[in-house]
Amino acid sequence: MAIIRWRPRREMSAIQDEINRMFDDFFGNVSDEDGAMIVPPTDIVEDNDKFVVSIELPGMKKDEVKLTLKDESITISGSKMRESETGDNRFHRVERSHGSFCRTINLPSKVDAAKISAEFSDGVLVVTLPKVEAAKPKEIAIKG
Amino acid sequence: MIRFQREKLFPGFHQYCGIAHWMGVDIKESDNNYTFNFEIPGAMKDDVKIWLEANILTVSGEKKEPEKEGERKLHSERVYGNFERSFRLPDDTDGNNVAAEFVNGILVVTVPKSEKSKRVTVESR
Repeated sequence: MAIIRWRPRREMSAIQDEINRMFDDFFGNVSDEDGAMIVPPTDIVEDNDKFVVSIELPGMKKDEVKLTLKDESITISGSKMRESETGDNRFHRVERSHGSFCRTINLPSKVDAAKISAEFSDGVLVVTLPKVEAAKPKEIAIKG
Repeated sequence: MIRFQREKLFPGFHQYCGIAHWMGVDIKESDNNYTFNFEIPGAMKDDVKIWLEANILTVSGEKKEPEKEGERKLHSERVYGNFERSFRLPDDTDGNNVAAEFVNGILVVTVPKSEKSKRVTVESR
């Protein structure tokens, strides 16, 4: 092992870098109003034939949401924008979340991509993903 | 942190009591009315009741979880259950003409302002 001169300043700058990195990560995502990220609540249920993913996106229209399937995961992305405050439109309370979102969900069994269907009603996006035949559970008969 | 600074709370809409603060509400004011937007995606119109009593507007109901035979839950983030929130309306509202409508999972309650308190632009010559 080589012997090098101990320089305490080098260790101090390592701590400084660490702290800088912590702060960047914290403030990095919140640049401006439209840069905010939200995480829409999502439920995933499964039965023998299919997976059903339901995502709450109240106030959005189906053109504002993008749904893509890749290998064994689906990605839902879009932007839930807030109305801007104009002269005739003054806000007294703002509790609803707004911002852009992008969620990827990995699916445990193989899904039949050709039969995926999605429906948007009452602010809830429901994606139905049927399983391929091989992924459906089958009962095995016991002989003897 | 920066988000909290953007949210404004005006004393005019004092919230009386309530359960279920997961049901977010936006309150905005225009020249002619106040509009409440309650987020309850997935709730059915028949499961929600709205009433107005002595200037206090109350929205209550239940957001039911759809449960089907043979379904197993893999991941659960959505919140279900009962909710009730009340708000005191300012004095300049007309309680007889409140309208409510479900639009894209949002319950929109429109409370018109009474005639004498509507904002009137005064033009100077």
